[in-house]
Amino acid sequence: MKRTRIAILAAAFVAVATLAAGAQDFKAMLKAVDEIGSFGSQDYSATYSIVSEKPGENPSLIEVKIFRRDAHDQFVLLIQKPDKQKGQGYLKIDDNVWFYDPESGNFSHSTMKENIQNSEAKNSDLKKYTFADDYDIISTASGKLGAFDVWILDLKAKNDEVSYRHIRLTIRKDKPIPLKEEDYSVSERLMRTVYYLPNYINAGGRLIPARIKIVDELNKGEQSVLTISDVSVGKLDDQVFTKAFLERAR
Amino acid sequence: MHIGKQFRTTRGTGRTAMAIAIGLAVSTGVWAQDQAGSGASDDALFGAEEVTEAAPAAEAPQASFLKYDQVKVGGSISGSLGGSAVWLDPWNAGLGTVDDHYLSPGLSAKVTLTAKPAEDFGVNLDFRMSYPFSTTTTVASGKIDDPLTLYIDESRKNADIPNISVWAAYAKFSLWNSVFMSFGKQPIAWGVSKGFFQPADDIFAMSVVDYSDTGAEREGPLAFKAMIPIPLTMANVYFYAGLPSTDYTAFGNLRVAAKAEVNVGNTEIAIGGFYAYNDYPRGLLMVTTGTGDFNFFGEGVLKYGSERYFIDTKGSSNPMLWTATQDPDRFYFSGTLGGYYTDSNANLTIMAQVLYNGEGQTGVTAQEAYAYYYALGHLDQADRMKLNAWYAGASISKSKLFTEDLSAGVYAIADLSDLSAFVSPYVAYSFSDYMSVKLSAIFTLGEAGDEYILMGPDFRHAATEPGTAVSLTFTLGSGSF
Repeated sequence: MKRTRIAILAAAFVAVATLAAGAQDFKAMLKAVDEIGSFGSQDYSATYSIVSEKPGENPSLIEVKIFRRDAHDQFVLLIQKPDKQKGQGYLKIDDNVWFYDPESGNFSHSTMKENIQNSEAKNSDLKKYTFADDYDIISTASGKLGAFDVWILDLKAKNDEVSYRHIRLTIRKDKPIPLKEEDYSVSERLMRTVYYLPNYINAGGRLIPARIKIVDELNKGEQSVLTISDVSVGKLDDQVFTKAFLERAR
Repeated sequence: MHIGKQFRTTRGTGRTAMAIAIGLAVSTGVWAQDQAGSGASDDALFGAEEVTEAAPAAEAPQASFLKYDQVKVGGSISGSLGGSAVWLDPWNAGLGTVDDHYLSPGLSAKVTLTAKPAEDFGVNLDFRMSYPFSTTTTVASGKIDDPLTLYIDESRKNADIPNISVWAAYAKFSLWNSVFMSFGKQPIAWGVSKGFFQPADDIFAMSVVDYSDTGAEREGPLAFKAMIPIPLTMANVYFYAGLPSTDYTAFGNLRVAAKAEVNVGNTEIAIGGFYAYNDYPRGLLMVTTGTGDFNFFGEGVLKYGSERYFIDTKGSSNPMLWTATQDPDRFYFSGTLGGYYTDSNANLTIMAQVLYNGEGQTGVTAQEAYAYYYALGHLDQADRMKLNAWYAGASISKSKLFTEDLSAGVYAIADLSDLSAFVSPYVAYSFSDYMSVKLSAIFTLGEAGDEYILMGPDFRHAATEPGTAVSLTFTLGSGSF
């Protein structure tokens, strides 16, 4: 009897230790996801073409240029097309986000949660990943997605700066790269699914998804596909991350 | 030991162990599931990995925004046809009789030209026109027929003046990639308030705030503007100089202003100053901040002197005994606080704002004040200066209401000093990107003589009671290019 109890307690201790070690690994994995998506001390710029489809309407095209200086948490997004919106953009410096409207010449405080025009993409989709800073891991699971073995993490937001309070992130087991993100509303309704397709561009030693597909789960048939081009890694002019640049871009 | 008793003890221990194991598994929230995949369609998207190398960039990434190979022509056209019905006193007279009804055709267009032949030089031109595209005016011309008597042979004739305005015409240029300047007729939006009340922007702006689109560009004066980003910080310094119009070219009419802004956390703080010899100097403090879906702004203006003629009734109801005097040797503080909430997922925006007008008139109703200003020949007092001391505004707008194409909203402006207000709800439906219909109404609230009662519910009729105007407007063929 006594030996039985000792054996049970020992097994329980081993199980807890194993599970605790696994939980720590997932936190490190989330950090690794953030790091692999960050350009560190390098500046990064790219053009995203966003083709949005809605049932009964012609597809629409939006082209945006992003500039990132991840080391200083700086981000600029400028609309290149359509021409009538060219020059509209966002400037993010640390926790400050401004929207610039060249029509009115106004800068107004904004958020990264805003959609890029009428597409399914949000500004936050194009900035560096900050999953580890913004989310707690609620649960994990193992699975398979297409040809990839994956971890599936349920994440709950730690702050209200994020676009979605609850997301389910599917990450490759072989590399800390997300493949899929399911975004839920406060009422736990699936709002949209983001597919980070495994076609990558290698820029500065980072693998960037060349195509991202975002499906609106509330309005069936609506989706946006983002295609990357003109990827550049290297020093950008400091003036790019200033209000002056957005005013000149008009 | 009895065998049965041994067996019962072992089974009980096994059940206990199983319960502990299950409890551990559940409490740590880890389970191993072999999932077949999220769905066949999802699996089809995730075949083998493909990697390509990034091609070297042909030019600096920001170049396409700073220099154009061609002049960009853009603009917009807005056409509408609507009808309005007006009830000047529906609460007493009922809705049976319409006091006025009319069609409201609208046609306006804007053409913009943007040229950027070099990264440090660009030109912006903005022309606007609206229907009717010309106005008829009488032009007098004459010549001195007799130099001794200076008799002038005068003739008058009607002339059609095109209704085309140069909204903006200015050049942008920079020095050492550090000082960014512009000169010409241009909007000067140096305030942080983009709501119903914009005390900082009011200083330079030549048009009033459009309450239905408070973020819209406001026409500006002939001015020089310089912006200096402070290196290694997010601080900026601005300098402005301009004239109210070319009719006022005396040195004393030159207006100069400066502003410095810094960021502290997620808050931007700016201080500014304005001076003109023939105007009243002002000091400004502006703050804007945000958290989550909420953004807040505030502006304070401290002005020395006022162009307001403050009416003193001397306790009498007889306007003949009133006096109106300026008080130029004191400070007047005005300020506004506001905030807005935006939910991109719900397509909802809510804004609220309050204004304190330190140059507010007290002791008389709006009607009495305007009648007195008119008698004195000081109609400028009734122009852009707010009359009373306290105002508030609020708006709610939601797009994609039930369907992709339906939107609705309401905005309200209130004079908290005389408790008058107007409220304007609307609902709009888009048939396409170029065609929509909008049903809107304006309800004025207050008592006879109050500020928001005077102009009537459609701002066309003098009124003495709360009224209502309802409009149905079709927007036809409107769009941007």
